[in-house]
Amino acid sequence: MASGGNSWKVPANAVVLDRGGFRRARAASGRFRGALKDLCVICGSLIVLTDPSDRARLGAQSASALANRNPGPPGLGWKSLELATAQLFANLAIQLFSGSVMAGTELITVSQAAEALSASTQTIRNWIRSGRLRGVRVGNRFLIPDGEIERMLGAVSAAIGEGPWEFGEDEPGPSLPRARAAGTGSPQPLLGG
Amino acid sequence: MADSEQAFQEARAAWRSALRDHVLAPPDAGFSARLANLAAAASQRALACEAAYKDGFEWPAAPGGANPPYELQPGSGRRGPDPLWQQFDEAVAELGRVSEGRSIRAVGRAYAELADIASQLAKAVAREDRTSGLLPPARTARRRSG
Repeated sequence: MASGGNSWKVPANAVVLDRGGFRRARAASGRFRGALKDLCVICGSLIVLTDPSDRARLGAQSASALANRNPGPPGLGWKSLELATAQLFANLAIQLFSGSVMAGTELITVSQAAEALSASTQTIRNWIRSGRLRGVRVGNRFLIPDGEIERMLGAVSAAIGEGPWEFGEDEPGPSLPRARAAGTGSPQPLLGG
Repeated sequence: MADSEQAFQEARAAWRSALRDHVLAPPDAGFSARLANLAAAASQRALACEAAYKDGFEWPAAPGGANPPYELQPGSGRRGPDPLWQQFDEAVAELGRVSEGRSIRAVGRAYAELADIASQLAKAVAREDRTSGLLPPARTARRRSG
């Protein structure tokens, strides 16, 4: 899914923070100053922490050097921060937001998601804002994990019936789909024991 | 169309008819009768699901998130015992959950559970309404003499 040239894969074992996580890390920065050993790169409000081995290997390099190794999300260049600042955010993120792991996730753009789901780009944005579709905000753009597309496609194709509380008078009912293995009925009745 | 599929569609129509009775209904003395109708329709759906299951059909998975008619929702001033309404709400949630899947047996069981609780509620509400005078006292059956 979405392995085309425009998609972007989050480095393995990376931690991605959305705008809220970034703000919280920034707000709490005073508490953790001094324990800065890791490296991260920051693009807009997205923080990507590399895995520990990368951080050790690249420890002597600057954040911009790491950014050059990974071009970042499509259409967005990395905005490297001064190394100490990057390290500060990296450590804070690890300590505060280790639940925000999206390791190995492939992120696609709103346009790609719209094409995959046969919806408009505005619909995709609305779905993200309403929580129906998971996405991360990067500056003024959204990126969507490709697993979300598969989940949505599954949900759309699965929903062929009607909800239990629909009551329209003239709507024809959905035809009953056949089970793959027919005739698997159980002798136990539903009602009356 | 298989007999079970025909029965399924008839049960669907009866269920939707019972639901329409609840929609925009005033808080009147007919509440217990509407609940009894809902229970009967849910029971019919449960039996139809069971028959369809035995004929090898699946439930047509539905999108979730819908709610029952207003007078059946929490906070609407529903008459009747709270513990039973709690069970009703749980049965509603279960029905919504299984309706998103494909197991027609699970849906049938959920309708059966809902039917049972709605039936108990109908009786309890009718009792309350008779006590409060909203419904006339129940007539006792007279034995025919001779």
